[in-house]
Amino acid sequence: MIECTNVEMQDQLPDLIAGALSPDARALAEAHRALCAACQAEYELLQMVRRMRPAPARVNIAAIVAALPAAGAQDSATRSDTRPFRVITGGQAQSAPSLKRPARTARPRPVFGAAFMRYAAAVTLVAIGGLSLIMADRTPSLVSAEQQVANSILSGTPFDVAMMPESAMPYDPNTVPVQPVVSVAPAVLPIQELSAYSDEELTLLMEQLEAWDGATHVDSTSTVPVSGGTPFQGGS
Amino acid sequence: MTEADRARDAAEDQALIERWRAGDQRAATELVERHATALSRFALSLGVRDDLDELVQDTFVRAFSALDSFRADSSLRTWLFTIERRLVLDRRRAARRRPDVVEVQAGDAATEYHALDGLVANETATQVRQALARLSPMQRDVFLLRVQEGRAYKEIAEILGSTEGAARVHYHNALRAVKEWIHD
Repeated sequence: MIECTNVEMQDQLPDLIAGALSPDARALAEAHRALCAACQAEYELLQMVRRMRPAPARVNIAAIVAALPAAGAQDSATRSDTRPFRVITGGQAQSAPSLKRPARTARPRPVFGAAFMRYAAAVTLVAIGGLSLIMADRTPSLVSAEQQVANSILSGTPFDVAMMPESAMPYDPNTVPVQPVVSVAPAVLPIQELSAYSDEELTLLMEQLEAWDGATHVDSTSTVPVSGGTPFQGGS
Repeated sequence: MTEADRARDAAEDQALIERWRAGDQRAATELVERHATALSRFALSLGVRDDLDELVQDTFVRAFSALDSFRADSSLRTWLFTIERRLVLDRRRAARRRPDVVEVQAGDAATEYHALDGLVANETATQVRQALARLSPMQRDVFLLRVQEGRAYKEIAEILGSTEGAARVHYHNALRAVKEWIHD
């Protein structure tokens, strides 16, 4: 396929076919075409495409004019797409109530406004928050169980071993049967002046302090006397 | 149509628009008569086969409802082509959303010229028709606007919402592709 190197002339071929060139430009283009085989071939191809131009369809001018907005009334009210007439092919324009497309119709107002929805959302949030607090209050937590066991030890009252956290169990449940409720011997020496303790009690206290590394509650409760074996048997 | 012809046409269109704005309804009739045929032909070249009358009518209604936004830096016909092409694209989008409507595919363009089979019956014409159908929609629109409508690249760019340079590139790519397919 031979190509023409004169791009400008090549570009003018559609205009030459459409008769859109001035007389001078037309003469130049015709002279070039007579000498250039590539442009001649291209000209014939473009002419063929031009001949394929579809024949214009007959349109109903009167109906179109009738559908136009009123002359000189171009305010915003008349710029809507409402058309009083619609063309029926091959026939007369007929009256139509409205030809607005469904996509352009105004959306119906919502039953509940935005303010109501905001209020409802706030009420729901408060209700959910309150419910969460109530549920949390009724659910025994690890902290509350610890606190309860500690209180029981300090006050010397019986406590439920099952309430203790599993990690705080001081014995192997496979070897030592778990007693649901155990009695605690007087586990705590009464708080008094150091001089009031006997030597044996002070020794026991020191041993307790040395055995407790102070790290976790597990260690601190590992010496809680259960099943009658307490380090404070000899306490007052 | 030379540049001088276009300038004269533009001046006549502008005068008719002014008359219509002043309340002269006959000016609207003249404007419709001047451009309706070209619009129907352009719609056919875009592959529109159904409701052509309605499409042309919608184009004029929309144009006359927005004449204030018409800038005289392009011709009225170019502006009308732009509006009509947008309407065609809107219709195609709407048709794609409707499952009961057969979608217009690029390959369907091959049937656009069936009515012309009697006129262009030779083998080369058939090859050209098939080659046009194989172009991308943008290439085909640019090519047909340039060759069949004789539009300048600037006008084509306005109609298709593109740039003059891009229109030029699309035209030359389309021409090269058509030539190659014919010679294959």
